Amino acid sequence: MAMELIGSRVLAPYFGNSIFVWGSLISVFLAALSSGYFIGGLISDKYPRKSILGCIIIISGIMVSVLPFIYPSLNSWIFDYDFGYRMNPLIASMALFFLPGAGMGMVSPFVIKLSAKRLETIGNLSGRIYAISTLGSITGTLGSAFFMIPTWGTKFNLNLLGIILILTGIIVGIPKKVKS
Amino acid sequence: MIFPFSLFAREKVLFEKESLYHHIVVIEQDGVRYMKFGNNILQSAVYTANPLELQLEYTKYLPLSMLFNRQANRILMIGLGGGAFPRYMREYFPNMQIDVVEIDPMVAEAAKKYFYFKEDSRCKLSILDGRVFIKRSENKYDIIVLDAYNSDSIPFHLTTKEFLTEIKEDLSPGGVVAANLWSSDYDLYRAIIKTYGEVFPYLYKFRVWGKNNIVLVAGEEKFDKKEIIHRAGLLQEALKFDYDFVFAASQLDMNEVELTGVPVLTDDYAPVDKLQHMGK
Repeated sequence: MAMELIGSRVLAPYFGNSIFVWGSLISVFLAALSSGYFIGGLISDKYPRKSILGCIIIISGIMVSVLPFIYPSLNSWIFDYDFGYRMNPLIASMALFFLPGAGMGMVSPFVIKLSAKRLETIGNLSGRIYAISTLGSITGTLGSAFFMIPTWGTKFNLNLLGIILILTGIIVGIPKKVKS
Repeated sequence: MIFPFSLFAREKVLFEKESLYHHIVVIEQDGVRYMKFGNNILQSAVYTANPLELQLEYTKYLPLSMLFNRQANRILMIGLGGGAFPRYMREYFPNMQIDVVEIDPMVAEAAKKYFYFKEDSRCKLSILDGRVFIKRSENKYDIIVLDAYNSDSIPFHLTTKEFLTEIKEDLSPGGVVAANLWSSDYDLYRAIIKTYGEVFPYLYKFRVWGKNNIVLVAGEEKFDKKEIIHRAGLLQEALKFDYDFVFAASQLDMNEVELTGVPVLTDDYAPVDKLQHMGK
């Protein structure tokens, strides 16, 4: 959600603030999450390891933190090529936000898989994970709209989000010492 | 006996629609039509008996931009509203070519239906985001008028240094930009002035009489106040404006605005909402 709000700041200078820009952003993030949930589920069954989950989060983080270096030239290119007033922001959103969004979408099913120990409590567990993930989205929305965007620049905010993801990935991914 | 509702009896709702961007309401009261967004943000007004007369005070100050570029014959207006300014300019300057860009198709519909706005060979309307129009435009304009800042919400991408630089590239030599601003949101106002000052060397601020509006004209040439008032007198005499144009010109405020403590607005960092509501 934080990415979505900051995404509007990435697109507006090139494609405006029209309803098409917002529609593009929201639908691309939903498509990314949907694909991420699906693929994340598949991978987690095949490789149910924390290190893989950590890598996915780290890769998403890297993709987010390099956005500031990519989006100015990518947006200019799309603007100059001109796929149309409606298609331009949709294509830009796809190119910039689909992959990192999908990576973040993979996390929830992965966490369910890794945490699930007994089938009887799977409802309880997945409910808890959805709740935590949505609380995270609320924090991201409030944090970006009320604090990050008014305080820092767009490029810095993207770097910051990327670094937070990378650190999270490292914490999740490194093997913990087994207590004896 | 006085009925309480008789107070409102003459107010008639002519149009009320939810557009992609706004809740648009057109009402008529005492011979004046008003366009509002939501229930109280006034956008435009017109006298039905004399559609040409500029009803809102600030619109009388927009033609002051002509004083800075007297040969102007090509104008771009960003933000249509009811279209009072293009209507006026079209009438008083027969050689003027006017382009208008408006983001909301329903605002354009209401302007045509209730505010006597007409599209023709001399007045062309595009439904687009102003920033996209400016970036795409290959025309050069003598005057660009920005009336896209709402008193309640400011599109950040129309305030930034990068945007103003793009505007400057679309101005012909001697061209000026004019913008309708609010001094009541003082920090935002100062940040906008600071940003314009980064792109244009000379800023002229006209205080709209009795209102919080400031009509800002920015350009590359230096004029003194006496010269502006003198030019206003000449234009008033030649064109017989139906209001006191020289008085509007005399509202030019040459005092410097204090610019410390506010940022230059950029595409990367333009906290317009925070600045607008600072200290509220």
